[in-house]
Amino acid sequence: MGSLLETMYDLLLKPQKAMPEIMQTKSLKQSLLVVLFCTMLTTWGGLTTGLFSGTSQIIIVFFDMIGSLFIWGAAAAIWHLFAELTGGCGQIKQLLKLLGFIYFIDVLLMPIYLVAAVTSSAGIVVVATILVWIWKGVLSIFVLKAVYGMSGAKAVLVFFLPFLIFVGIFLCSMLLAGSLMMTMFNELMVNPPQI
Amino acid sequence: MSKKKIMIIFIGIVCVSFLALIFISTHKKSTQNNFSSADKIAVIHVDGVITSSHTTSSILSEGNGGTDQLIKDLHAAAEDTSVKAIVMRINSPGGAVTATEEVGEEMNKIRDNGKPIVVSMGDTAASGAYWLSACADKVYANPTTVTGSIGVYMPYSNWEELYQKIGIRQDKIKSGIHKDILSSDRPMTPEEHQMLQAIVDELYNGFVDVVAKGRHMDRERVKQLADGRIYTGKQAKELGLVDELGNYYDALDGTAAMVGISGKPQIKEFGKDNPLSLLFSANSKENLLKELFSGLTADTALKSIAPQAMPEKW
Repeated sequence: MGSLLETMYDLLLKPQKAMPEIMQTKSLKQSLLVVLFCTMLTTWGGLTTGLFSGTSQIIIVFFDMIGSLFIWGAAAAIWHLFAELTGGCGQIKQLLKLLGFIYFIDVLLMPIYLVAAVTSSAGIVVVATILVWIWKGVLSIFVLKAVYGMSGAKAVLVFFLPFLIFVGIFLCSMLLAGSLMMTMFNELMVNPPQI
Repeated sequence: MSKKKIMIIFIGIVCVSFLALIFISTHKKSTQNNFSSADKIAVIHVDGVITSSHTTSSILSEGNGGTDQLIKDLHAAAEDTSVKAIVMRINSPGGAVTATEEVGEEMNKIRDNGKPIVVSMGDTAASGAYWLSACADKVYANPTTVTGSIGVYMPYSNWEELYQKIGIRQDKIKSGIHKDILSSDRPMTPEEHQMLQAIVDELYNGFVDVVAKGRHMDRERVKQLADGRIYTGKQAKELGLVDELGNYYDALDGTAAMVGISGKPQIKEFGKDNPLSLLFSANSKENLLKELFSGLTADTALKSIAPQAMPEKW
């Protein structure tokens, strides 16, 4: 337990030291428990805003846990693919392990939720959530570096590649849709709808 | 301080925060419940064709279908002591006679117990939907709402010639000569026509009585207006079929004023869909409409711009 606490401390503040240790000594099962426990805790904390009540809270927590597991797996799969495509060499199991432990950072939001609940300020939650996402993003880049032995720049590229591809596909779709709509609008100008 | 101690303190803060959040949220709920005893207006939506149907609500299914659910919502609103009045938002072309009558009766019982009901008409509130409107204390319509269509009709199709063309012959063994009345494989006899006309007339007279009583109008005057034609909201106001011209929010404000609620009224919606049901279930109203309109013949189907009168299903 002491070793786990020290590992989590290092993960938060000295990630480059903690990651090789996690890869060697920690199991995937422990990583899974971190994902599930931290998701449950933070989702339930967030639900105390009072938007949902009664049975719905349990269902939302349940589906959030399922969603987290899906995102955890999907992120690992996508990043593993791009890491391998860019010449990196590593095991997806190690990637999953480290990405799972990163979920621990979400519990930092609990005191923030408490402050927000007491002060009735949603802004602080938004700011804190963004900061936590940025921190997790930075740690994810360190994870990619550690697992695939790549340089920092390459790790950043691999990290952002899925988003860039998604944005590219989205922009292309919008262009295609836009050209289609232009044709339709021409027809509408000739034959406007009648009331 | 060692790493272990720092992490223990950190985890302690997280746990205390979590427990404090649960306490605060529980405390908030109890104060909200006290606040929620403040006067409210219930809003119940009546959408689509009015039919008697039983739907069981569950987390994975849409809970707002058929008059069974509508009546349950009315009862729930009537029993809620924080609800001072009910606004029924109606957007319907009508429906079945009995289903409409059942809802109308429940509305009358609620009004007799002292809780006012106000109707706010949407795009269409015709035929059976107008029957329900007539059972309300006050009716709001938009100037362009399509309403009226006070009347009853019973559709009948004769497919005999088509069957002959394609070589289908139907035979029946029946217990009585009128058992297969409205059968599509033979013409209607004059006697049967008279029988059905008598039924339609009886239902029509019932409709007229409801409108005359609800709108405090002379029965003969209602019969003059009840030849089945549709009216705009503006025309209906001029004829005394609706009380006010206004939209949904005007109806809410008017209802609040009626029951003495000052400022913006607190709304409680009944029969709201479970968000998960939108994710997991098909839209049962679309299926229902498909089934109902599949019985329409070609000539009645052409009357797509006019609201439907009340079809009688046998």
